[in-house]
Amino acid sequence: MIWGRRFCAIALVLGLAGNTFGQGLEQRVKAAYLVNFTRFISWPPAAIRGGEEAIDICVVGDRDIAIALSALIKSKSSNDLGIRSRLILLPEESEGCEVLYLADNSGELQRYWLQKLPQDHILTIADNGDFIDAGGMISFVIVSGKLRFDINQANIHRSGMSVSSRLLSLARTVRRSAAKGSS
Amino acid sequence: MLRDLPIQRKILVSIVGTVTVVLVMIETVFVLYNWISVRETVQKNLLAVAEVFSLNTTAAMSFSDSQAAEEILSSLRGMPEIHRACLYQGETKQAQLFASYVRGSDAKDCPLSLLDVKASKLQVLTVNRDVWLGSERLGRLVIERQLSDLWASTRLDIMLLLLMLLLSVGIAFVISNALQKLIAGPILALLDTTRKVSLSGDYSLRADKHGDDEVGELIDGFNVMLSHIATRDTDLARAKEELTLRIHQADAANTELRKAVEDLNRTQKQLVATEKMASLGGLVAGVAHEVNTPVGVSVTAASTLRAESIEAEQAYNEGKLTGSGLKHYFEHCMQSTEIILNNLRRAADLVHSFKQVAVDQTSFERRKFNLKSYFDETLLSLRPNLKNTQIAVEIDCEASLEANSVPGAISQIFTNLLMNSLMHAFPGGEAGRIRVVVTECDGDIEICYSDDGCGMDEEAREKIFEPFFTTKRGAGGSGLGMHIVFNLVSQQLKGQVEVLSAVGEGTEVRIRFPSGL
Repeated sequence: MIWGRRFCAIALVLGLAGNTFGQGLEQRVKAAYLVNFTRFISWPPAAIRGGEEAIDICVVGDRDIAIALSALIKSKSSNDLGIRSRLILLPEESEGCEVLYLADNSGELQRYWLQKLPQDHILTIADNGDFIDAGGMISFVIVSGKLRFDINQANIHRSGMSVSSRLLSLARTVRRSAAKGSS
Repeated sequence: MLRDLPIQRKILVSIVGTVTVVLVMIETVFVLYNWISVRETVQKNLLAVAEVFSLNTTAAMSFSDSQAAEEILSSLRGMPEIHRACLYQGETKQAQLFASYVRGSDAKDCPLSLLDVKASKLQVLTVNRDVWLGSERLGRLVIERQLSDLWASTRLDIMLLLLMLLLSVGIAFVISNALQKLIAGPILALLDTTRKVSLSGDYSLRADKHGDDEVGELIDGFNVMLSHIATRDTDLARAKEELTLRIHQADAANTELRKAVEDLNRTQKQLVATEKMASLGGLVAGVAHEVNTPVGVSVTAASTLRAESIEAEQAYNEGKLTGSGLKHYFEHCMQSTEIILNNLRRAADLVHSFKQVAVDQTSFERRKFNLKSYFDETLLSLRPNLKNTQIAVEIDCEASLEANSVPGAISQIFTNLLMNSLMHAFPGGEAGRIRVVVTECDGDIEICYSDDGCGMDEEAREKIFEPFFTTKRGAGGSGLGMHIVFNLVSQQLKGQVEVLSAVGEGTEVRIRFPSGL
């Protein structure tokens, strides 16, 4: 009986996994990572706009991730999390964003976005490994089929934020020196 | 078991036993308390460790980075007691193993599901700590710690305490050994004295007193008791001596008495024998008198006949004898011879019966006899005694009734009873009736002898069988008649006799004896 039930549970999990694979597992995992990052980063008190406790995750250029994020936030209690997400098109729209995910891998565009950001205290995240050397803070990497990330701790500190050592311990690489080519 | 131990051993056992029991209890409580409190401390520490590690693995779990989590857990290597740490991800009921740390090869791998994790045991302490990310629970960290160090220290504690226990018991032994002399010494001395007293019987001994406690009181009491016993002993010895003297005197008196009784018995027997012979003599006189009458009649008849015959002969010789004279003579002859014959027959009868009775009375020979004819014969022999009285004797007995017994005894009994009736029941020669009823019943012969004379009072009736008891001492009664009856019934006939009587209502004597001895 118990074995039967357990077998059913495993089948269910596998089935769901298969589904997510088909409909963009990578996007779902990345969305989860984006939410998780916010737990291990502290923003300076002034950065939280107008007393609003909520953290805004802004996604640039990937609609799927934005949808996955919305779904994730909705699936959990958004009140508990205090997280909102939106899809933006222009740097000017990033006003009030605490996390900015740049889905576009073009280095030029990324540099443009980094320069055009209206304020500090924005955690910038992208998919390409050289992003953190170009002034970005976190970049996703895929290592042997698993999603990992690199962190440029110096860039995070310079923006007035701090990162939890627990998050750092999970990173594949952590840059502690100032990145070259950063403004 | 304890009850039979000597008192010294009892004191020793009670003190040492109490000390042992109390110490064992205290030490058990101490060891238990120590074990529990140390375990609690260890648990607290382990909880703190779990707290730290659950915090440290939060990020790894939130990013599903089990490798990182295992790296973090592997720093538990610095705590050698912790042999296993298991990190589970997901809701409690469905939590699956996420990362684990297993120390060495002797520890088992973590179970794959959180539900299979066992709770704490004696050898293993298990603590759980949920992994939180903000307000979200990610999973649970389970850390197991071996309690071998706790057990080792507990073993050491127990060893030390056992050693202490042995030492304490030893000290208690030494102290109680010294103390028991104080308590048991006087008691043993008292015991020694009692033994001496009971062995030697010397009640002048006294026990020594050592103190004024209960034992001292006991010794005092014992000494008082001893003096009491000594006094009593003396009294007793005196009483005993006196008693011995009395017994000797009583013995001497007894011997004399016995001799007197023997003399008496001998005399009584002689008297009884004399009385028997006397009654026989009386019988002889009676019979002689009785025989005398027919013989006398016969003599008269014979002499008349002789005179007649002489007369007839004379007439014949003279030729004067007529026919009528001869006829007259013949008639006379016939008459005389008839009278003579009748009387001689009667005399012969008397002699025969007397012979029979006399022989039976003296011999007590056993034979088979007809009761009816025997009673008739006896009565015949007693007829002279009845001759001058107005007493009718009636014998009611079936003609065919026979008995195999001692007829002499029966005739003597009957004679005695009849003589008693004549002498006592009808002392003034009154008219009366004596009735003898003989019946057979269940193999016994019952003779019921009764007269309608004056009877007797209760006192006389009770004493009637006693030798020399008589109400006619001066008038020739010997007081042996009924005694002889009693002896004859009980000894010769093997039967019983009883007397029923009341004043003015006659006397009834019932004799019952077996018909075949």
